[in-house]
Amino acid sequence: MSSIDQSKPIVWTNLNGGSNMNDSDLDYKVTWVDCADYTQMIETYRLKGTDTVVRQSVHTLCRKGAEIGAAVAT
Amino acid sequence: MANTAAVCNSFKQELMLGHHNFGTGVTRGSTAADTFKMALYLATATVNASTTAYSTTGEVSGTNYTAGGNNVTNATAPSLSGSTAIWTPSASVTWSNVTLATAFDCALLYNSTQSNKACAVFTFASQTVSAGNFTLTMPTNDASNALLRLA
Repeated sequence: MSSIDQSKPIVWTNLNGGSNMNDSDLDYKVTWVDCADYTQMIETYRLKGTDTVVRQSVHTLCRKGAEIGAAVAT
Repeated sequence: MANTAAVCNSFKQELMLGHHNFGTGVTRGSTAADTFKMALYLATATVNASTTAYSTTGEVSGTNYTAGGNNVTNATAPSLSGSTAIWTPSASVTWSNVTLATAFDCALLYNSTQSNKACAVFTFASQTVSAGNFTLTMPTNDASNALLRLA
């Protein structure tokens, strides 16, 4: 793994208990889960060329809340 | 003119505002709004309509996650949208720089002012988070989508 170049964009990761890495050393992927009640965006950073996840964030849009008295899907 | 049986629309809103008490045992300390919180639960937990209060059983744990979850921003009082009483938190609920390594798929809304009594359960796709953020963005506050609706 190359050392951090502070002049380039960095990303906070879980490596070494929490440390920065250069964005250029990571693969970035966004996946979506889309349902009637919510939409999720999952951002995943992996070490470049590997399956090792070093950072993952999840953003959930609640599209529809709960109605009191409404039937609950099972 | 004719009379029509109904639950009054104003009553629905007033239930959310705490104006009516048909029973005993509830003491309200002030006129301020209660504090509501959201806690996250593992996909293996059992949190559902039968849940009566917040519990640590099945709650997620990990770096930068505090048991009990986060406060919900409540700057918008319950209102009426047509004949439906509605309430939605006025901001997203965010857990920043957390690592939640065990899959979770559920958030419990509860009232921390009133003995952590449960309000509602929301589920989503099972996920993990690593050195990142988990954000719950709230729905449109209207009769069809608001986070809590009393129709």
